[in-house]
Amino acid sequence: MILSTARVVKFAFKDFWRNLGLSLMTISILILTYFSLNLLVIVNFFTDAAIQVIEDRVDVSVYFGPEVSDERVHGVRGNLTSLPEVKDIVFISREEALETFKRNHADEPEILAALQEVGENPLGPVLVIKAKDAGRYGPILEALESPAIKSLVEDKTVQDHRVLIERLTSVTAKVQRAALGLSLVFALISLLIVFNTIRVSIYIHREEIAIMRLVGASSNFVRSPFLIETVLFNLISLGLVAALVFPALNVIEPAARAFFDAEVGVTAYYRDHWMTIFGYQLGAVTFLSLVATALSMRRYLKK
Amino acid sequence: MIRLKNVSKMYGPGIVGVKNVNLHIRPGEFVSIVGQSGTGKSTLVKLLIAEEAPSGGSIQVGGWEIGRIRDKDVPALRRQIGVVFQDFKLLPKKTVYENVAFALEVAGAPGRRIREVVPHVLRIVNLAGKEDRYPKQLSGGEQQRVVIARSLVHRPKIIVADEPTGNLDSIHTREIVDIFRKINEFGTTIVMVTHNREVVNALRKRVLTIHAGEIVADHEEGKYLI
Repeated sequence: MILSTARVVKFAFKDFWRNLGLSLMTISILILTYFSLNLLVIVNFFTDAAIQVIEDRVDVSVYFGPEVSDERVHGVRGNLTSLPEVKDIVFISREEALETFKRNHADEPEILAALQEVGENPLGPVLVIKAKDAGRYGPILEALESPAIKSLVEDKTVQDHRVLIERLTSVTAKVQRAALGLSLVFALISLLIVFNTIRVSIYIHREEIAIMRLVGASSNFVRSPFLIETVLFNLISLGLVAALVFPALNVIEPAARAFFDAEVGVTAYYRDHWMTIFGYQLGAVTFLSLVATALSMRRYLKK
Repeated sequence: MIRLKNVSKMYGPGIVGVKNVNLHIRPGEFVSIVGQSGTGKSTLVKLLIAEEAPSGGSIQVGGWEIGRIRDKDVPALRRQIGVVFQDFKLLPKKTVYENVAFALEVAGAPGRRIREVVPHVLRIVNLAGKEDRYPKQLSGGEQQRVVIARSLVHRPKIIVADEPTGNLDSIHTREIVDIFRKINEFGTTIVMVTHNREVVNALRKRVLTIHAGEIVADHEEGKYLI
């Protein structure tokens, strides 16, 4: 058993080397397949990142009147926090609101002079509400319309965000549908290419397979070197793609950071999840390659 | 050794490979099968090595019943029958040594046995010293000798040769026939399909003549009749 396994592995490596042209052709097709898959992973990551960046910038600011006490605002905050749609609520006190206002208008002396003239702090406390995702602001806005809260609120930036939120929700769903569709098409094309490449490889080896049968090789003995070679092709292809992906990400990352004006973390994502990402790819493509190999060989393994 | 009873092989309605073949070949015999092209000679060879299953009748080769042999037992049968073809069927990317050793490797023979047997059979066919050559670096006669060496590694009791001299000139033909004769003298049964009148007549061994899928003549020390 050990002897046969060792021979099968030896045949696989020898065949790989002696049919180097065909081996390189198969590897190049597999490289394209793995490259496509990683491109999809990266595109999906950036789509999610883009949506996340925009969602993070969307919030609802609720401005209370200066006469409303912090306790009452905290009470409203407590009510709103209990909503399942709410991710986070930041409380800004009257003093903090004034400081921010002064900072934002530091270059406008007339406004600061007018503020001085008023004498006391004219600003009320503020609640900045973030939903768990952009599609879930509706119930929050409804809650803000309840009479108990509405009577305390002087102004809110809800109206400004409603259109953006609705548009973002719609765009997000469309982008995700398109990405999924594209992924499926890409995966299907890749699989067909891999399947056909392996079929061609087996076809080229058909005489060799016939001779192996003629001299008394069992089906497993005939099949195994080709299956091992298929695994070898996949390991080499994925290894090369992985070796290219990380340097490429190091180039993409700064450009993405500049574009989104935020930390995107695609390199960190790959670094933290490389075993999962490459493991699933290797598992799926190798499995399909092995199925293609076994199916292609079937007709040549008859008596 | 080999016994065929009422064997027929049909490739479709009205397409006859062989029909009603009855044949008994005793151990140690040298039998030539002759006949025109398309008369069923190669079909007979395919039936003997279980490459085809008979449509009817029974074929016994050694201890095997070919009509009922299971797929997983075919490799074992093939290791007991040496097979030699006109088109050599050598692996082009393997050297002479590797081609011969391959038949032992697939059978799980240990390395020490391979190192003993391969040089021995290469000496029998006069190919010592050419172990590292690839098939394309050999003449047709030498390639056929590699095939014969490969067929000998399991010390088969039967060698089936389908037109072994079909691609060779007269000098190489004589070499190959002499090797078969030598192997036969050691007790191995030889079944040789051939077109070559001179070879058959010079051998003075048993000759079976096939016509339209049927054995029409069977003569000890026979001659090429057609």
